[in-house]
Amino acid sequence: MNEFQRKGEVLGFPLRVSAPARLKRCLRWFRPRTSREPHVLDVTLTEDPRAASPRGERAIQGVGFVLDLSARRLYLAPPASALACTKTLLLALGILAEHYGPERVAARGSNGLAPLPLHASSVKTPRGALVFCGHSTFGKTTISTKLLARLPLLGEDLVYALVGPFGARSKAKAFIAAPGRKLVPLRGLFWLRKSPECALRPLPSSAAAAGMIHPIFGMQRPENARHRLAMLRRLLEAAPCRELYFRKERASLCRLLKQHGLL
Amino acid sequence: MAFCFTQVPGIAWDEFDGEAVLVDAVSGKVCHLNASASFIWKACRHGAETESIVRDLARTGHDRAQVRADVRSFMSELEARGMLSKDVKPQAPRKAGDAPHRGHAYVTPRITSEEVLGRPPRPASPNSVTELPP
Repeated sequence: MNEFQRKGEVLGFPLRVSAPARLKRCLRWFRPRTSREPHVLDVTLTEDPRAASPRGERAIQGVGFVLDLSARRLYLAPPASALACTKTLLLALGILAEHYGPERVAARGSNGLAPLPLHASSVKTPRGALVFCGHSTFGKTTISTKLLARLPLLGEDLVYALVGPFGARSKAKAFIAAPGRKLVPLRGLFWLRKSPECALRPLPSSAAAAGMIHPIFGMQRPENARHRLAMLRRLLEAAPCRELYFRKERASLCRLLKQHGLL
Repeated sequence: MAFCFTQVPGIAWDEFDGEAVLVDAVSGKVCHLNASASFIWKACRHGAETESIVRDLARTGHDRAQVRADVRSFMSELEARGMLSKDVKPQAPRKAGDAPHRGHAYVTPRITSEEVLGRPPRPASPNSVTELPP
């Protein structure tokens, strides 16, 4: 038999993977599935995703993958690492959640959470993940890779939050995807502001949502923006956003974060 | 002649702590409304006359003439931006799910901030995605 299929999950999202037998060794990242839930995404492992994918109604191309939106099928090049593969899968699931709605992606295995890609940087502290949002040049990279360089980096330009639950009237939860297919609880969410003084100030959820709305794909579709707003609402319910005024000095920033019990 | 204002269907929006965030997918603009502006926007979900909105907002004790002028000015602005449409049809009856006036402190309705949607990850980033031609 030249091809095989396997059912499994990544971060609780049920997937079905098919691949030529010669690429079987590339499936180290894939774990057997324990639940009987229907899969949310079909993954086809292929050496050339562009050539393998049929031209459906809408197809999205990224580095090492093509996502056929209408068929909910991901054509994926053999991943270089389990981490790279998890990030690509979360990006694809995030695009699906924006396109079809989070409740169509949220699974029982993922506790009803749906992936929300954020234009942000994030570090892991012993108390949870800190996420720094802001437009380009606001200091996301500076704060996560220089000022807080001693803390493990979870994402530098794109951070994958898992938010929800959807389809249930439960308390909102938010986690950040970390290497090793782990989820770190969200501890703090910040909108960055450069300032001579370090300070934390509350930011209205509406202002935070307006800043974080940028969909990853398909800005011209109102439904995408609507679905993203629904996910942002859950994110901001789980962790209210604050404005973080900071200057490029490690000691004052760490002092401020410690004062507020964030470090 | 009474005019009825209705939200244009292509506008995505949601409410966060009583303040609405509007996304115009066509122009790529994101508008953040203050509390009174959000009330007006929600009232226009199924169509509303200016006078009924003025009546609701003026319940907080504000000068009715001033509220009327503010509401008209704000609705004209949203109409000019292509977010509200004006029709000569009767106001739709209030439906379940339409927010009643909760008596927030009246402020001059306005757009608090406006931004243009940008490209989330840097174009050279491995995370950037593009649509393939069919």
